[in-house]
Amino acid sequence: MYPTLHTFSEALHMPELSLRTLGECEVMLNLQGLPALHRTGMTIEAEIRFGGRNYLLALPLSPEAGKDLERTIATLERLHHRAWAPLRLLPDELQWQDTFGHPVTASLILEELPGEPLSSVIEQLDPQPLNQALDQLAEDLQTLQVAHNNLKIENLYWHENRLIPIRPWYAVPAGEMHRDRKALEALRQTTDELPILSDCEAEYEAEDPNPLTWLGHEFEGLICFSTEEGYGFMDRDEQVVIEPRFLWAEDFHEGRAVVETEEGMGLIDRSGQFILPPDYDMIEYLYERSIVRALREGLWATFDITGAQTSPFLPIEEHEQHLA
Amino acid sequence: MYTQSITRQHRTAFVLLVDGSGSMAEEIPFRGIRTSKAKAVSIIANELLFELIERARRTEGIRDYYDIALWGYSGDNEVRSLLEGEDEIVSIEELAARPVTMVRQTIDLRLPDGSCALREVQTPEWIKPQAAGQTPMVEALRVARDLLARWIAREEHRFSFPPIVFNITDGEATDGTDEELLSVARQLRDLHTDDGNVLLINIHIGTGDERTLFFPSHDEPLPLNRHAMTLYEASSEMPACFNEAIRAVKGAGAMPPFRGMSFNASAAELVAMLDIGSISVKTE
Repeated sequence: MYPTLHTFSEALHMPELSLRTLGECEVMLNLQGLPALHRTGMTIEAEIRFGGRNYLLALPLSPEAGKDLERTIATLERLHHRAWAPLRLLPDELQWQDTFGHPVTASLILEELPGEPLSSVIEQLDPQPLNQALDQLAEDLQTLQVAHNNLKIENLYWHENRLIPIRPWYAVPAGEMHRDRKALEALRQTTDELPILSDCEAEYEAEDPNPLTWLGHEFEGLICFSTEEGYGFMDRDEQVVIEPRFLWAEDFHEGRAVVETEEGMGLIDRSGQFILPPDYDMIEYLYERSIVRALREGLWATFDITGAQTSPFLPIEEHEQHLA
Repeated sequence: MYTQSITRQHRTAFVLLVDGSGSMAEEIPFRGIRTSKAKAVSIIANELLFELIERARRTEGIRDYYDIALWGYSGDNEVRSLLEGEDEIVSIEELAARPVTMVRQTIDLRLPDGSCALREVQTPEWIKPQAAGQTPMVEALRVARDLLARWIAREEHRFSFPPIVFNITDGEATDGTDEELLSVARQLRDLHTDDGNVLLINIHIGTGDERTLFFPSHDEPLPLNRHAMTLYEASSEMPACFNEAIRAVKGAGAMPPFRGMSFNASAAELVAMLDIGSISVKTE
């Protein structure tokens, strides 16, 4: 069985018995006396001190995440560049007994934390060296041709007038650099207005490399997707065409899609404009017949796909007769 | 069906029904020591709550992925919430924000050379062990049915991964017949979101020294025991999304579909069942 978060936490209580090579480390605790854990989309982490240095010790959340991270780390290790914090995979580092008493091991990730977290020193920094460090980081990433893909403020450390990115869990060699460029640009724009740097963090959150909670199939060149914000549509180049602002959305047919908002259900066109406003209790789009049925206050009416009403609101039996 | 990822927009709910009847005072082996079933169950339930809270934690705080209900049944037909304040159901964010008692727990570790090491660790305790009186399991299932009917009726839960109910017991219901139990269990399992029906997982814990039934397959022979058969019938068939996790414990040769129940399970199997039923569900 793969270790749970509780297993990891318990192991950090007794590193001398649970960690293969880091048994003598000190684990940072929270106010309750428990290991201070930090969860990301890929890992659960704790800060430790070992041999006089600070490290992040991370457990991938699943075997699949572990395999992805193993490849990423191998790539970054080969680059061996000072732009990255030293990072290592520790095979079989976590040792514990599963619930049936069988000895089990799992690999952990160790990343050195150089200097200070940017978030804790940013208010004391002059904009000039910070901007120079941003330039340097952009240049390094470009030279190495590695996209970090998660350059938010808590993933940056300040060390010897340089910005060192940590947690490269989403890093992609030879990947698209536009996310990093946008994140760095946002950081640069806000350095003159310190300490409002949290704004750029919020902006970067929207650029999360894995924002999707659902992705449908392509219909008429548009793909329905959902994020924390709601349902929207993107094109095949993954460019958002209609922002995810709906509670629910169906696929496009004949240039129309049924959507649901807080106010009710409606029909939109390919630009996201309402053809039928979202104030119906239910919308059924019979696209084979180019007919839209709408329910309001227990009565049904039909509309065409331009939004023109083609029958009065009627009880269901009369409506179905009309429809036939 | 059963494909919806758990997000803040599409939360799910976990309901734990815990038998606190007198027989739960019986001692069983648990992690190298002997302790009462009630104590083992409370430790395991607290670990589950810790796991769910930590899985929902991010830099900005706890993300509201789950609602949690914890109900105990015991005494003189008493079914009551085990949460501080006796809330019917709380969000994981609310649960995490509440003050919690920290207790010292002794852990018995087996070292590679075969020797043992005892360690005391600090651990949060939301619920405490209880063992007194009867087993009003039918009423406990009614409580779960009614609170989940209200939960499911809320529009924001329409597309959610369906709630999962864990019923942890060591005995037979004392407040109804098998037919009554099966009827309420069926009503509970019939509740559904657009993503599937409520899952009812019945976990019967025993002393661990008799034959165990653990997420049985269709072709697995049931013990000739009326109570085991009743629990089997009362339980949900596990959807395919749990198969991999179940086979990881039962062995690759185990063939789905699996029934969400155990009979005579050890404390270790209880841990495995709760882990499989909770954290193998895909969370953002």
